[in-house]
Amino acid sequence: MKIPKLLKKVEHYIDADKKKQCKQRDSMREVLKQLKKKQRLLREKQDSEKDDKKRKHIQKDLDIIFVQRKKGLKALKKLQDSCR
Amino acid sequence: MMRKIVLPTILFLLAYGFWVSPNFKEIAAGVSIFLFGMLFLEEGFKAFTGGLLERLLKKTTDSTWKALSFGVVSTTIMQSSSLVSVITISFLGAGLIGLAAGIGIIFGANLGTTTGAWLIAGFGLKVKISAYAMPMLVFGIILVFQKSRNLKGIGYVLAGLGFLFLGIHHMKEGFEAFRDTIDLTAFAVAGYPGILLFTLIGVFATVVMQSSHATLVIIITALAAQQITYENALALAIGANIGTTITAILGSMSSNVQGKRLAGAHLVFNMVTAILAIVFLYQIADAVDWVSSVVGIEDDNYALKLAVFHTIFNLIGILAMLPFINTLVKFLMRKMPEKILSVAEPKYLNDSVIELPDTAIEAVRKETLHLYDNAFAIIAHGLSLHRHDILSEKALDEVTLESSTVPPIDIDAEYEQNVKGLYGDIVGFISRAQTNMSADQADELFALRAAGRDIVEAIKDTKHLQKNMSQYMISDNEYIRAEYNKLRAHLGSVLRRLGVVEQEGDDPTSILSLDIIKLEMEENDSTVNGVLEALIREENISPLMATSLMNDASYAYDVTKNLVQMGEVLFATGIQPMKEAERAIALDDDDIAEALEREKTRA
Repeated sequence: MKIPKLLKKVEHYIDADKKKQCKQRDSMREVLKQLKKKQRLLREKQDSEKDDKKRKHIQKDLDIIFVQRKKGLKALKKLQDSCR
Repeated sequence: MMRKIVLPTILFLLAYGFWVSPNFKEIAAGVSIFLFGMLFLEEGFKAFTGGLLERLLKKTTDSTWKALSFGVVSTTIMQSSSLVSVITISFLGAGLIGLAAGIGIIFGANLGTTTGAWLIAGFGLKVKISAYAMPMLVFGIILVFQKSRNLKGIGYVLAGLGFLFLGIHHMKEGFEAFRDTIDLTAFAVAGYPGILLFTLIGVFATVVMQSSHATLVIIITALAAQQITYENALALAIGANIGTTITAILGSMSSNVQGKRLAGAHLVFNMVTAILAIVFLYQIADAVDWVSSVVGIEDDNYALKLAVFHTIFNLIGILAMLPFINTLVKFLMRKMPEKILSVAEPKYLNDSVIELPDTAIEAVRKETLHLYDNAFAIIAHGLSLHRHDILSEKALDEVTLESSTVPPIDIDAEYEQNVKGLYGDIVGFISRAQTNMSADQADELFALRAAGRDIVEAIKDTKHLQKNMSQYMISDNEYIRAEYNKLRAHLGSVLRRLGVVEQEGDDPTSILSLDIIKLEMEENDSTVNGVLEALIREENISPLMATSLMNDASYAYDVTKNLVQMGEVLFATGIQPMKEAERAIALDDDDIAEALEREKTRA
């Protein structure tokens, strides 16, 4: 391993805050990925649903996920900046 | 009384010994430095228990062989079967692993600890290990003073190893100088009386030092300096194996019955192994000679032969006991039955987990879930709903109509009996546990304490709600009856959704689905959605009924809010950053307003 690379590794190891933020970034990505998956499944379910009441109910879930993802993406951007 | 005499006597005898013999002083100082090194080593490994060990343990204990291997590997790395058994006891106490897995680890730890004898006999006696000790101590202590938890942990481990090596060096020097003045072999006793006597000495020495490793080092160094006979050394090693169980027994004192059962298993295993080793000592010694000749150990290298013996007799113990693990589990469960707890007693909190931060947090989480379980019953019955109806798939508006006749319970009495004491125990435990924790871990603990408070608040609000509810849900006025049944159905649906989220523990987005409750909570608020106004205007309900409904809607709102807050903390599982990410995304009041706005725009 080249010395600058090695130094960067050591610095990364010692800099606990940065390491923590990178972990938070990865976790945020994972949660957003899962939410996107859930959103897609709910949309498919809504498209095939005939009952109006149930469709409305699914729409409510979708609205919530929309706001959650918006909030999450904003937080992810901040984490990405501080982890760089 | 006994304790008051024993300690001064030991101190006096040691002081006299130091005065009479400088060599004895060097050996005793060596033992002390060695034990000090063990303490440092344990401290170092505790720094790494924050997650890694826990995750490993969860993955590696689903079969007996895996648990056994985990015991061997972890004890080989940590060089302390006592630490592994104490950690295992605390995991068992916190309900993280089962008894059979715990026993598997303890068996493995017994084999893993024999690697210590190999290290000392094969490496410690041949090389001048004090040369390695010095740099280790210097680097170790520098790292101990660093802020980073990981560096500190590495520092403790390095310094611990340094002290271990230094201790061995002093013991070796002491015994070698001793050889020139006194010949301890004069006290050797041949045959079975000697075996039994030296086994007892081994037990006693290990009980006093609380470390079979320290006893083994003394045995090996004394053997290498030809101060004890090979046969007596074997008996001492057997005794050390029995004596080491004392640490597990002491560790289990503060644990619950599960921990005590594991300590019992440890004692049974080591006793059976010792009996087998004593009965077949000469046959095992022959086997040691054979193995030694196969692996190329010289005939007169008794120190390494002792290491071979130590491994063989523990291996025999494992082979003999492994088929009987399930029988042993049944035996221990019969002999140490679980105390039938009143629901209000803590199940998971015990002092044995307090030293391990992540385990302590998990124990508090489980205990708060236990608190929620008790509270669930109180809230459900307070709403005159059956628990099984809430957890079923029945439509809740129908359930509320069917169960209008369910008699209301005395919430105050239920709270006193099933919640108050338990909540107090959780709060007390948290105050004691937080002293060993990092800032993040302490935050998690405070979040759990707040979840407990939310549960208690939810019960208190249900109590206020119950007063009018029990009266109006059977009122002749169908409008007020319908409004109160709506409140009951809403709270029932909150409890149902919380139940679903609790079941879906592994899905990281499950606690985020609680946000839908927040949205519904705002939508259903009859005091602001115009329903109440209409009821009063059309004189369907009296002003008195209206004020009661306004107050009670507010209580229902608070119950919901508290339960959702509680759920967001209590049902979040997985690693800490994941929990933080989920909580960062969970919607606050402004976000809920935005979601409502989206809904209105669409309508």
